[in-house]
This record gives sequence, C-alpha cells and structure tokens, in this order.
Amino acid sequence: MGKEIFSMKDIILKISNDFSFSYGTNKLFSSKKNISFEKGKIYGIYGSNGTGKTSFLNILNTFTVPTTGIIEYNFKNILYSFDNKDNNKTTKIISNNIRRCFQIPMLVDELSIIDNIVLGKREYRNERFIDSILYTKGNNYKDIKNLLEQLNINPNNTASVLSYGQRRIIANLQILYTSPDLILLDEPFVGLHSDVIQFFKDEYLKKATLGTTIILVEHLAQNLKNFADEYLIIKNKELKLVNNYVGLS
Amino acid sequence: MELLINILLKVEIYILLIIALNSLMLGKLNLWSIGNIVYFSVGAFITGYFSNTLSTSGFSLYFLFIIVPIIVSVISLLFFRISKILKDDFFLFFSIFIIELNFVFNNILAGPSGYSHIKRPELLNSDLSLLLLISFLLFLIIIWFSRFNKSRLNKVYSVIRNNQILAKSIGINISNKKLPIFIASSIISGIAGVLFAFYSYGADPTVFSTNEIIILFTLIIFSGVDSIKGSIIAGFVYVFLSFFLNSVLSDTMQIIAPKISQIIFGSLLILVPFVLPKGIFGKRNI
Repeated sequence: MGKEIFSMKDIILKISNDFSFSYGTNKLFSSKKNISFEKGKIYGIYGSNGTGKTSFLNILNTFTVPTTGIIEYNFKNILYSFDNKDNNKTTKIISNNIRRCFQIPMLVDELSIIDNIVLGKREYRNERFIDSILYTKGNNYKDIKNLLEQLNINPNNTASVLSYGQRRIIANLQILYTSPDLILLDEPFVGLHSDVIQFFKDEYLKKATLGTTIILVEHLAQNLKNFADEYLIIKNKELKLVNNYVGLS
Repeated sequence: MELLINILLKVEIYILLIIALNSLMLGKLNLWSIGNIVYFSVGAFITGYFSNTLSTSGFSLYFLFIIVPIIVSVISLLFFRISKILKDDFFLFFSIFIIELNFVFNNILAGPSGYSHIKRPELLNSDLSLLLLISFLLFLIIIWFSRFNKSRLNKVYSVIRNNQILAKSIGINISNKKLPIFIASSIISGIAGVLFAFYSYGADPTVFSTNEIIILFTLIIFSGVDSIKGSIIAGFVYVFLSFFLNSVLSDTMQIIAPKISQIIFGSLLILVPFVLPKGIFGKRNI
C-alpha cells in the first residue's frame, strides 16, 4: 500500500491495509483493508479485555509505533506519518491537534482543579521561559468556574481532594475546554452518574458537529448506541470498521 | 563589622548556589543535580586561571561574567544530553563521575592546593562593594523566582515533574522545557563560583567536592524544596554552622570538629524526611 496523499478533504486519518501491532511475538491486531476516519464523526472502538483497544489509542497518540504499516494524518494540508521520527514534529501534531482522555484520569494533584482543566490550552503549553519574567495575570475562566460550582466542585481546591468520579469529570472537562481536531477517549464515562454521562455525550456531540473527530474506547456497547456514528471492532485480532450497532454483536 | 560583612558575603554566594539547585533543578525538574557543584567549581577555577595564570586584572576581570556563563552552559548541555539517556540513579552516578573528573582537572590546572591570591576586579576591591553587587544580583533573582512561581510556566513544570505521559499528551515538549532550566541553573552556579573566588581570593578544590553538595542538598531538604525562603535559610545555616564548627569548636576540639559536622548533617539527612517531610518552608514532600 505505502504512502498516499489524500484527495478527500474530509478524511482526518487513514490506516494502511498492512497495519499491525504486536507485543514482541504476540500479535494484537492488524487490518486487512484501509480504514479512513472522517472529520466530524464519532467512532466507537469495541472489543473485549486485552484485545488492544488502549494500545490502538496509544498508537494514534504517538506514544507507541505500529509494528507494520502507517497512519497518515492530513491536517491543514500537511501530511505527517509515523515513519517520520522527528520528535518535534510529532509533538507539534499532538499539541495542535490531538487530545486524549486516559483510562485512569490523569491529573496533577498539586495543581488546582481549574489549572488541571485549562492545562491543555495553547497559552499554557506555549509559555516560554522569558514569559516567566514578564508574568501577567491570565484569564480567570469564569465559565469553567461556574460549571464546577454547579457540580459542587470548588475550582480552587487542589486535585488531590477529588473522588474517582470527580477526577473523571475533570479529565473530561480538560478535553472539552480545548479545540482539537481529534479527540481520543479511553472509557471516559466509567464511574459517572447517568445524567453526567448524558451531559458529556451532548458536549462531545457538539464538538463533533463543529468538525472534531472523536475516537472512543468503550466496554459497554450500550454506551456507544445513539452516540457513535461508526464502530471499529477488534475481533479475532482483526480491526474492522462497521457502520451499524448490530455489527457489534 | 568587617567579620559580619564577610560572613554575609559567603551566605549570599551560597544562597545563589542553593537557589540554582533548589528552585530550578530540584524545584522545577525534581532532579537531584549534584553535578551543579561542577559549574560552581568551573566558575571559581576559571577566575583563578584568568587572574593568576593569565594575569588578568582591573576591569578585564568583568569579562569573566560573560565567559563563565558560556562555558558552564556548554557543560550543562552535556549534562542535559546525558540526562535524556541515563535516568535516576544512573544520572547520579554519571554526575559523581563528572565531579571527580573535575577534581582531577582542577588539580592539573592549579595544583592540589588550588589557586590563592586571586585578584578582584576594579570597583569590587572592598568586601562592601562585593556585598552590594551580590545583594543586587540576589534581589533580581528573588524577584524573578517570585514571578516564576506564580506564572503559567511554573504549572507546566508541575505537569512535567508529576506526569510526563500527561505532559506529552497535551503537547508539552518536555526537552524544550527542561533545557532552559539546566542552562539557567548552570549560569547562576557558575556566577556564584566566580563571586566565591573573588570573595575568598582563592579556589580550593576541597570546597567543590561531592561531600559539599550532599551537605547543601541536606540543608535544602531541611529548609524546604522549591522555596526561596528555604534557600535563604539553607544558605544561612550552612555558613553559620560551618563558621561555628570551624572557628569556635576548632579552638577547643580541633580533632572532633569535622566529625561533629558530619554527625549534624548526617542526622538531618536521616531525620528530616520523617519529622518534617516538607521541610520548614517546602511546598511538597521530598
């Protein structure tokens, strides 16, 4: 298959038909066809434990490289692929385009809750050393504070005081308060109340309508129903795209 | 009065060195950078080399404030590159190796007793003028760090220190953020070395040993990690305790004075993590 520059503007990433991932000699999954992900769509990844769902997200997140094959990104008419080993370019892709919600909510306990939410914003990660000398007071993020108060969370507390469920909420808010092209969610609704799950589903749907592609790992098929547009299943070590919920069974 | 100015001078030089360790390498990156003593030593020995071997004097000695930062920055780049390959204990072993290498190099350069009779630059001939210069420098650095600790960048370092996977996932380029800390820390330590050579009119290799840096880290643990107040307290304790042990106890108990020093610092190193895990002014546990 090899490299191919996309002509279709609405495709955000594409997996080649020789794509596979193995841990040592243990092959986890492979794809026999090209798989394309379109802008503004929600994709649910479904599979039983140990099939490699999180590993797949790690590959998309550039934390791991595929054993064979390539994944091509086509952001702003610039083509990147994982066979490009330039670390700075990879970091640039992630910082500008991809956000990840981890299976275990990753927060920085010593920072305030509000800081944990806004960390992924451009003004934070692009802060230069010289800016620490010319320090000016930043945005006070009133909208986030109001939302947190509705959820009975004090935005100024440190993240260390949060319960597991609250940590999950903050991890989701961390994603929602940025504007990436691609969102990777690894079981984002575990331990959340059904109302809160619905709130986040609605917010992610809004993001999708604005053109963000969402790839979501979920153990429970019902959490994908009426939410995902298409489904990526990992069955018998094969990645397969199906476009209806019935295909999950 | 002269004695007080002399002691204050030493205190302020050590505060500079401790800030470079405590507020930068340990505070921002969580790195027990014992290699910083090399920058301190390089600053002092280059001063000795310029003053004694090259017979530089007068205003020309101010050139050291440019050349030393450049040299220590290059050395810090080496440490930075190695820190990407060797992690944790291995980086520590590498640092010990470089300290020993530096010790040997200093012996070759200046002999086993180091440099003495180092000249001071024009306008810094008196202790008072040197004290004023260092106080001004320290004032600027303290102002910078109080701003730094409130800045967004400080929060970015908090992410790097606590969770590198999260840092990568939100697009923080960890290497790009670590490098300025290595360089800034080396420059401050190197300048402290230059000032130490001017202050003591000499550069004695034993002052720049692994032992000394471990004592400084012990005092940082005691006074508080990533705290300016802690660094100031550590500087005072180090100098006053050394002064007390060297001058007061040495008269009466000459032989056991160094042993008492080792017992005091050793006990602090063992007890503080249990009794005062955050130190006196620290922001987080060790």
